[in-house]
Amino acid sequence: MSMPLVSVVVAISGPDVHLQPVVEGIGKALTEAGYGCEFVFVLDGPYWRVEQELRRLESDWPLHIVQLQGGGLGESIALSAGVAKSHGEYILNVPPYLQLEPSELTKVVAALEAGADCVATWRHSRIDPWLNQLQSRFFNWALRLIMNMPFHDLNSGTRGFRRQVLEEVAVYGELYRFLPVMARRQGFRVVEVKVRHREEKGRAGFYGVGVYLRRLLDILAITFLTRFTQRPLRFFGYLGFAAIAIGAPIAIAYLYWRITVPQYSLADKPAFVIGAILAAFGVQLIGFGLVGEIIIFTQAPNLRDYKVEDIVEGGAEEAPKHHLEAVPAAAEPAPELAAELATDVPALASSIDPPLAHAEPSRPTDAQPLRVRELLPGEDSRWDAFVSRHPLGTFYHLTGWSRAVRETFRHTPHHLVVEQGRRWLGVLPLFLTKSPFLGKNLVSVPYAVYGGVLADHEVAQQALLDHAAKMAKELGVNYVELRHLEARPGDRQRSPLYVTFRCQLPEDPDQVMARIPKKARAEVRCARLPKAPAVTEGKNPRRESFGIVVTADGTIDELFTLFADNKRRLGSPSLPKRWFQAIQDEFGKAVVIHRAVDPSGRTLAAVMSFLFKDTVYAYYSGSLTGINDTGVNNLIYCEIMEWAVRQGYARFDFGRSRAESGPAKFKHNMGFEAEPLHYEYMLIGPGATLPAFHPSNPRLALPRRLWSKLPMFLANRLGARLSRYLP
Amino acid sequence: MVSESTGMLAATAEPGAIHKVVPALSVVVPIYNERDNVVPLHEALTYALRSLGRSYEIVLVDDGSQDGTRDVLRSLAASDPHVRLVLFRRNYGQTPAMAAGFRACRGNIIVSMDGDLQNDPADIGRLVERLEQGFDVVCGWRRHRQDRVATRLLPSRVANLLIARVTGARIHDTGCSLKAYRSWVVRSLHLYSDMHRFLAALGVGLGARIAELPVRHHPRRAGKSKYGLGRIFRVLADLVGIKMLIQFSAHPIRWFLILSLPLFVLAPLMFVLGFVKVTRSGEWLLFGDEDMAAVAAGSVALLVGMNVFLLGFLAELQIKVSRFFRQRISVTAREASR
Repeated sequence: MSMPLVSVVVAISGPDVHLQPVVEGIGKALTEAGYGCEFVFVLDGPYWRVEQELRRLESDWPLHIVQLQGGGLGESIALSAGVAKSHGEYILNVPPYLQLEPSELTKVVAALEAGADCVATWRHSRIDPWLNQLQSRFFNWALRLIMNMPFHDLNSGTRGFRRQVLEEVAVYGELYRFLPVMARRQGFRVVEVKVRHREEKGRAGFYGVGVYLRRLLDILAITFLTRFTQRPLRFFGYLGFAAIAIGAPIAIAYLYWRITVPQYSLADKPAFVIGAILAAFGVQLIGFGLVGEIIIFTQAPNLRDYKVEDIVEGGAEEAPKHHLEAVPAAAEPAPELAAELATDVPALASSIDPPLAHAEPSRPTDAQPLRVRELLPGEDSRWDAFVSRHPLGTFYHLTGWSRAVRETFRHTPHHLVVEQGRRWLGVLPLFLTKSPFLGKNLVSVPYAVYGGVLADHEVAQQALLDHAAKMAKELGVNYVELRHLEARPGDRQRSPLYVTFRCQLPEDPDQVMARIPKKARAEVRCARLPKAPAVTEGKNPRRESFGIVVTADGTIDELFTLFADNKRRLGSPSLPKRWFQAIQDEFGKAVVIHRAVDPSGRTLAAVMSFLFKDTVYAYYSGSLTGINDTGVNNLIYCEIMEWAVRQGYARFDFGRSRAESGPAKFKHNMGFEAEPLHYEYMLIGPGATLPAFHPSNPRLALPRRLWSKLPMFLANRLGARLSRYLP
Repeated sequence: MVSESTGMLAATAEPGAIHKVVPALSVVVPIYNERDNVVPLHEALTYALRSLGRSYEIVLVDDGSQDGTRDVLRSLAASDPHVRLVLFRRNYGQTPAMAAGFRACRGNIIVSMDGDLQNDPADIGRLVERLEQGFDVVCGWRRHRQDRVATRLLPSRVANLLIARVTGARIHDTGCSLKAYRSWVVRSLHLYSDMHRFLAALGVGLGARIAELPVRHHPRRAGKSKYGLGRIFRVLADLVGIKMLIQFSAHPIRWFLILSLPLFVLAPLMFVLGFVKVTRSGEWLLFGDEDMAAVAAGSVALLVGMNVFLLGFLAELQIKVSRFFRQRISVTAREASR
């Protein structure tokens, strides 16, 4: 590919400019940075001397001169005339003197190349008089306040654009300085770049009142134009209805008194007149809105507010070359084959797949450097796709989990992505959590049992972790917690506290029972068999059976009641109910709640499971107290596994437990082997240690006992608050 | 109508010439960042459309995706002559994407649907069948919606009910993208802003016959639908506009008359109040003790009423010079000759 062409467009509105240093400085800087450049000078008036100077420069630099007829047309028109004559993909708009160091301009072009559509510059360490600076600051402050736009220096004369922006965003008068604002409103990506200030021309001191007034009107016009022209009725309708809502009651009240009360006079009631005028004004506003709406509606065919880049006819295009190499048999998607293919759709699909696989080689090439950045809004689906494809990706890496965490617990996400060019090589979900018990930490991923880095190779992983460590230092955290399920390459502090339990599911639901050890199997059986009392005498002594049925239609209410009760009994704060709701809202059908009901209709136990790839993750559970002898706990997990097999899932994840704890023993008795978890910590802060705030800590025994004595409503209230601090 | 489409069927008996003739059926799908859904979608669509046994095209509109969807789309187009791509350089939103897709498609019957696999392509056949029973627009109705929360369903229900009541298009589910149209309906309507919600209603304004059909609906994979208070206000404001457009689009001045009528009634009343007074003894007093405020309010009402009425003239002019008006006449004429 040839180097990108940058068009430098300069509008000249006065004769006393000296252009040679501008052309030479900018031209040299751009050429050195590896860009092609051309200059377009727009003369907004008959400036012979300037033109002569330009003619002299024409021999050395690619340079176009545009002479505007008449002149005095203003910078906006000059700019669009210049753009029409230019050829570059990127367009730089600069004032006719060296406002910035020429080398700073390459920053602007680099930002455009990095994907920005429009670049606003922010002159830093400004060198113009303080009075001008103050006025400029005030102007930008007012703008930020009124329009909620993040720009600091709109008066800076240097701006960069992708050509498309200037083709789509129309400006007139002095509105060119708002181009970044308008571009942003229309959905372009606008960035601000800090640049070093070199010199400033223009008047020092106060401008006339007229200038300020014009600026103010400009801001208002821009706000109005960008916001309300799409649907006039919405804007005018709001205003109109508001005016009527205020004015009509006032006027009607006075009218009522005037008619019912004898000798009542409106002559000395100005509020009545004001009310009446407001109401009438409201009607008129709605009328205006309607006319506007009719104009927009009838003109809609002409007002196409989108631009089609390209229309591609199917089959007309030659298939990509590697596609031909990959599948020579299907290389000719000729229409003749269509009849044969008609019954065989998968064949068509398979002819599509190979080029996709080919387009994404999984080996790193050293051609481009790795770049780590935070996840941008709008990339959630791409992130999820990456997690789904990655062999170590778990349910908790998905952005749905992150959104639920963010909404429920208000922790700040700092998700990282490592990419090479446009290709993603790895992701690392991170949340900044703050807690009086644990301090400030980066956790991957809070409220989840698994998390941590997903990367295509070790280099990418290291890049992510290095960036995370750097970010951790900047944020001043204690440690970065990586809840890895499988071991990752590299050497970091590890916590041996937790183990997890997983198994492969059999092919046949009937085999699930067979895999459970004998004792637990007996429990499952006696929970499941129709309700019957125990038989202790006679030939066939048997235990009491309970006739408990497990169904996959539990509700959040049921689960939460049981879960919160169990948590309190164990002396831990519960999670808030809206957390469960948020998970269900995010994942919908990928969340299933099983419940165990006894013949009297009482819900004994409930388990919330997550479905992802080929795995069922049994995650949150709860059961009534004092029903352990029914074997309901064994039954519900057995039934979930059978359900999972029937639904076609291949693996079951029983979740983590503290090693040697009660739940761990229960899972072991169900026939699961404990697998060590590779929870890893990067200790950042001074004197940071592994977290010691977990239920095994003996110092927490007393608070835990106290907590378990709390009444339920209080425990739930407090727990919902506290859980934010126990990620 | 029916004979027209069977004629199309005969023309496509030769499969080799599929994309040379005008297809009988166009499916328009706006797509934004759906890289992983595009191939399954295309597969499902191809399967469903092939089984209909008529010529078709699939118009995929890429609404400026940034996740590589475009490359997938291009390779799809390269291997399937039924696919037509419309590519946007950046993200404009669903309505513009839909409008561009409509503009690019050539079929006599046009089907629109979502690109996120929430709609089921298998429903297309039923929609088209229904359309050919003598309707101009057939709307999908997500009867068993797979959105999880009642709090989201309720506002949507209310909005739909309101829209149905006010516009007269008795549709349960205006938000469903799966719809089938005869091409003339689509060609005469130009979408802008959030108008796709009101497409059926606008069709009614044009004189189209509308039917509804329950369709399947799959759960959303990620993301949320947003129904806030602001949105309710917006739908209300839009409703007023739509009502005017469909009911009075031939003579908008009537709508403005309705708006100004209360003012015209109020004005003389205020004048009477201003000039006539009942004294304590029960006597009527004319011009005895004028009430300035009432007279002023009456004048304002008269003035504004006049203004609004005159705005109606402007609206009338605007409609008269527009295409929408001529379209409406042609539809009405067709209706009469039927």
